[in-house]
Amino acid sequence: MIVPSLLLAVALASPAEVRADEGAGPATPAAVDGTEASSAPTTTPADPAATGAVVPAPTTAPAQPARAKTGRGLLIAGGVLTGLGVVGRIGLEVFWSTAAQIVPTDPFARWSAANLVFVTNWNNLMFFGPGLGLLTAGAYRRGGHEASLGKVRDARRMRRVGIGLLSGGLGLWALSRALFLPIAEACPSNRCAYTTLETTFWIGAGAIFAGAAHLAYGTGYSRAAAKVQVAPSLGPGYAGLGLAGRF
Amino acid sequence: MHAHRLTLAALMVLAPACADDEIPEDLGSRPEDEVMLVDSPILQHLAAALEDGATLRASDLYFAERLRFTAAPDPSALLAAQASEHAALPPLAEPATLKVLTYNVGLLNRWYPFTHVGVPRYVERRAEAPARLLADGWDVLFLQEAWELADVERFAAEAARQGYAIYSGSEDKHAQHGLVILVREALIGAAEQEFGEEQFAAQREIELFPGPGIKRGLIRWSFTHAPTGRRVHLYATHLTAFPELWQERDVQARVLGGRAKSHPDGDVVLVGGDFNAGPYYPEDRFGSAGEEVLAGWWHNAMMYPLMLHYGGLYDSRSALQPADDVTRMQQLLLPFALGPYRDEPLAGRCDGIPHDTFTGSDCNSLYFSQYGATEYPARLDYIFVRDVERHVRVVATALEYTEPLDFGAAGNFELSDHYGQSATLQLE
Repeated sequence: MIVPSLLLAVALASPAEVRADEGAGPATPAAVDGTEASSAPTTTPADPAATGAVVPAPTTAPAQPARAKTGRGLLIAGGVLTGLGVVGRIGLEVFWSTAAQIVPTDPFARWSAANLVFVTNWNNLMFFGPGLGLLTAGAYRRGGHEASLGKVRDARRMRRVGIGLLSGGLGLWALSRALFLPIAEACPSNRCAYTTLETTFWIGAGAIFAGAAHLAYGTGYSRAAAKVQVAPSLGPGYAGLGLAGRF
Repeated sequence: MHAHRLTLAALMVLAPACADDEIPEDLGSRPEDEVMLVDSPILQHLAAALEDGATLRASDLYFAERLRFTAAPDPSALLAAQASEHAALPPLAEPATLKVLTYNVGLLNRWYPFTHVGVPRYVERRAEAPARLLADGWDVLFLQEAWELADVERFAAEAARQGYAIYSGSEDKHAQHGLVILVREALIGAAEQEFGEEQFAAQREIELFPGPGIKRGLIRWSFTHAPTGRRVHLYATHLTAFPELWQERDVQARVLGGRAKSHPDGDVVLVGGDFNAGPYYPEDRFGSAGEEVLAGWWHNAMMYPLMLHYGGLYDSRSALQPADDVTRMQQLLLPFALGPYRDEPLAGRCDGIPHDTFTGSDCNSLYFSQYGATEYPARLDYIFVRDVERHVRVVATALEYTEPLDFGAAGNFELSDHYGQSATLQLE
C-alpha cells in the first residue's frame, strides 16, 4: 500500500536510533520525536480494565523490531570464504612451484590439463563461488541499508562500473580458460603457461568480485533509494537529513 | 526412499567409471583359454601350486576366487625347458646380429592433486640418457617411462644425430603410456613399415585421473630387416605396476600375447618392456610400509607364464641358460623383516647376490630410495621372442646400466631406477 510521503527528521549523529527504525515494524514514537515511549498499554474509558473487568495478562512479548538487514553477516561470511579461496589458490601455486617439481623451462604438458581443471575448479567451487555469492548478496543489502541511512552514493555510476568490471572479469576468465590449451601450447615453457593461468585468474577474479560488489551495492542502493529519498534539512537550531519514503 | 534411489542411481552412474576391468570380455574365445594348466608345460607349475590346480584351465587364472595358492609357483622347469629347447636348435647359416635393449629409463616426474610422483634425479638423468643409450651400439631399443614429449624430443634429436628412427605413438597417447622404440635406420628395409598404438582396456583407472595421467598400453613397429629380408614386429609395453594389481597385469599380458601371436609364423616378433612382475616369489609375504607385511606375491608369478602361453613366446634371458630367478630369490634374507630391508639395500646382501637377474633391485640406489623394504627385488624387464620357424638365436644376454654414473655436482647414481635387459640375437 502506498501511503503519502512522510518527512522524518533524522539526527545526523544518531545512527543507532535510525537503525531501530529500519525494520518492517511500525515506527515508534521514539523514532519520531526522540522521547521515550511507554510500552505499557494506555487505557481509555472504553477499555474493560477501566471498568474493573479482569483482563488476562499478555502472554506474548511485545513485538520487537525486525533485525536490521545491513548485510554485515553476509559480507563477513563471504569474506571468510573468499579468504579461504585465496589461501587455497596461493597454496596451490606454492605446490606447483615446489613439491610438484614442475620444470619451469619445459613446455607445458597437455596431460596435466585435467588435473589443472580439477584442482583449480575445486577451489573455485568450494570457496570462491560461494564467497562471491555471499559478498554480492551482502553488498546488495549494504547498499540498501546505506541508502536508508541517507548516505549519498552515485549508485548509477557504481552500477556502470560494476557492470564493466564484472563483464571484463568474466570475459577474461572465460576466454582465458576456453583458450588455455592453445595459449599454453603456444607458450615456450611451463613458466609462461602457469603465469598466464594465474595472472588471468587473479585479474579476472579481482574484476569479477569488485564488479559484482559494485553492481550489487548500486542496485541495492537504488532500489532502497526509490523508496526512501534523503535530503539535507537545515533549520534554526538543528541540522539533519530529510528522509522521504514510502511506508 | 527417494534418497536411496538417488544413491543407487549415483552409484550406477559412477561405478563403471571407477571399476577396473579385471576379467577379459572375450575370455573363453581363444583356444589358449581352454588349456588345462596341467597339460601345458608353461602353466603346469601353477597347477602344482594351486589348490585344485589339476582341474583349472588358463581362463580360471583370471578369477581371484578360484585361486588358492598353497605354495610358491616354481618356474625352474619352465626356465630350464626354454634353455634346453633353444640349445637344441641348429646354428644359423648366415645370420645377422641384432642387439636389442629394453630399458625403463625412469623419466617420471609428474604431479597430481597435492602429490608428486617421480623417480629421483629426473633433471640430471634426462639430460644424460639419450646420448648415452644411443651411443652404445644397440640396434633396437624398447624404452619405457619416457613420459614427457620433451624427453621424446631429446631422444628424437639424438636419434637423428646417431642414425636411428624413432616411434613413440601419438602425442596425446604417448604422454599416457610413455613408450618409445628406436631402430637403427640402416636396418630398416624398403618395404612398408607399419606402426600401431593401443591402450589396454584393463587399467587402474585412477592412474589416469585424478592420478598422474597414465594409461598403460603398447606400441608396435613392423618393418623388414634389411640385412635378412625378415619381417620383424616390435612391441614395447609397460604393464600396470603394484603387486596387488596382478589381475590387471595378467589381462594385459593376455592382450599383448594375442597381438604377438597374430603375425605369420615366418615373421619374428620381439616384445620388450617392463612387465612389473617376476617369474618367481619364494614367499607370499614380503615388504611393508611399516605396518602389515604385504601378502599376495604368489599371484604375481602368473604374469610370466601367461605371457609365454598367450604369445607363443620364449624368454630371451632364459634361452642360453635357465634364468636365475629362483636361485637369486632364495639368496634373499627370508622371511621378510622390515628392519634389515629398510636399513640396507637387500638387507645387506647386494655384494653377495650377483647383479645378473633382478632388473628392479634395492642395489640400485634410485630403486632403493623409492621401494626399499616395500617390494621384492625381481626381474621385471624382459625381451620375449616369438619365432615359430626358428630364424632367431640368442647369443648373449645381460643386465645393462647397472653401475652408478658420475653426474658431477649432483653426485653418483644410476641412469634409471631399473637396470636394462639386453639380448644379442642372430637373425636369418
